[in-house]
Amino acid sequence: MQVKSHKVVAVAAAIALAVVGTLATSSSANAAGTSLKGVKITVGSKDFTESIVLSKIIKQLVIANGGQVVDKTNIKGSATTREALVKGEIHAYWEYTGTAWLVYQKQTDVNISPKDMYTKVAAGDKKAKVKWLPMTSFNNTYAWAITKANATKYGIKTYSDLAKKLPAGSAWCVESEFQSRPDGWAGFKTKYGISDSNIETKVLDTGAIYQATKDGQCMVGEVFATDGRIGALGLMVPQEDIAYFPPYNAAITITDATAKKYPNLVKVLSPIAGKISNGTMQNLNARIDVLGEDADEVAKSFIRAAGLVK
Amino acid sequence: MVKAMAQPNLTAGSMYSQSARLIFKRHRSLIIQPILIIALSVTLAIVLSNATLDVIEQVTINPTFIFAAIKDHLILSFASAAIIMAVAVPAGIALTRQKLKKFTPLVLILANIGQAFPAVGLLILSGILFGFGKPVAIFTFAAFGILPILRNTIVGLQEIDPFIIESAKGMGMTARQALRQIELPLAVPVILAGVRTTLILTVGVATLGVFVNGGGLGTLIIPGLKLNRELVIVTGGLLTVIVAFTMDWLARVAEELLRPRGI
Repeated sequence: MQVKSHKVVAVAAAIALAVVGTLATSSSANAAGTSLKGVKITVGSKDFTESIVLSKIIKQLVIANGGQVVDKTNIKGSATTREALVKGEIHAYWEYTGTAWLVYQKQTDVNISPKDMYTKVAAGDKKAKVKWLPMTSFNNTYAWAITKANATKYGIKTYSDLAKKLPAGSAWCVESEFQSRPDGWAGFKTKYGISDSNIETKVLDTGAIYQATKDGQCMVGEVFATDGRIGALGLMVPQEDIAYFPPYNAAITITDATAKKYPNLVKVLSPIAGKISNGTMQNLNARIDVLGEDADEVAKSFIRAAGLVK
Repeated sequence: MVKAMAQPNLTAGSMYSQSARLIFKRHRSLIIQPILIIALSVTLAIVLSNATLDVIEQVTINPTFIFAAIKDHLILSFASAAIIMAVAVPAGIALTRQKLKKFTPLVLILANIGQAFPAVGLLILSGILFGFGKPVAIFTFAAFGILPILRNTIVGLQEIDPFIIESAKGMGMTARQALRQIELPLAVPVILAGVRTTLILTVGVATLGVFVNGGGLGTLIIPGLKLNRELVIVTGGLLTVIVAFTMDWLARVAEELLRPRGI
């Protein structure tokens, strides 16, 4: 009897949910502004501008559709953010395919196309109960930057040129995380045949590398390909002629529980990725890092400009 | 005489054993501390040599990397502590002299500002202005730690009973003699307490050296945090504790040796 009554309650609840779900879907088709009514999620991000502004886009889009968001953006470090998601402390954030592949799923083969990597990563994450929404076309991979002036002076067009044409003792600036990653500094030196005796390695804070490269304290700086400061500070990224860095396309990762609870949320968030190219991303980053605009404001204006809300 | 009256039955023997016990009591922590430091280091070494490490952990958890980090950390903390002492002790003495007393509040405010700056911000800014590397890290850490030792020096000198200085002068000592023979020895315990605080502070702050190409144990802690390798974080943290404990112990030994008898 006891069991039966539980079953009845469960069935009733399921019906109620289904009804509410249908209602919500039908309303989203007509009126932007209320389709996420009743949705309450916590959005996280890693501790750098791009990750923050991307998550602010989720936040602003959910709010614009009538939902509620707890903002937990700017969590220190990739792995800490990921753990927060897996533990359910946050419900969504943007992850990069390459990071998930190498760091969380502990894979080592990086010679695969962005699409294949996305498929494999999404499949592998089913175990962790994490759902991957569509990925962006932009690829925020690690990159090397050099000033345009130095590129001309030394005839630098490719990463191989960086390895071979720069004067002995040139300073390469890397961030401490990059120094410790399997897809980081040591692997790059091996792949491009750079010997430690020929160069100087400086370990700096991520944010300081751009300015230090512009100032000449670093001949070569480890940067992110979509960072707005590359263009703003007169730096350039040579061609990666020997494939080394894995693809780092971004996608919203969301807990299975949240995706199930709010099917509409998935529908609203999925189109974001298609609207952000490398150039768009550099531009969004530059507005914050170079022009000093507020990340929330940038996100708000982006969802309007991209036609995600009317 | 007062003591004898309070405890009239005290024999010479029990008095002796009591003072021996007092000496042991006073030095007990000085003896226990290095034992703890060694025990902690050995435990850490055993745990690390038996741990199975993944590719990320292997980059940092290896003898070459760890010893280089410790060496850099010692350089950073000792050099900045030395600068702090070289600047703050003479400045503290000068600021308690009659002629310069009026500047004391102003200098304390400046030192306070130095400490109130966000350390990482100050570091990176200095790096961009003066070049990334150990020198910038050392000078920034020094700017950061001047306050406690400056204040301790000033307080230590101010707390001396003015009658003692008066009577020194009454005995015909010059101001300089009174400073050298009376004031400074009496202020030593307070000044040394400041030195200890400074050393511990610089060992802690030196973990930020990683942001400006200064090296140090931050090269374990920061990537450990970012890549979620607990073993790396804990190793970096424990090594910092070990270095700080060792510095603290050395300073306490120095304190015992330099403290004037009878205090």
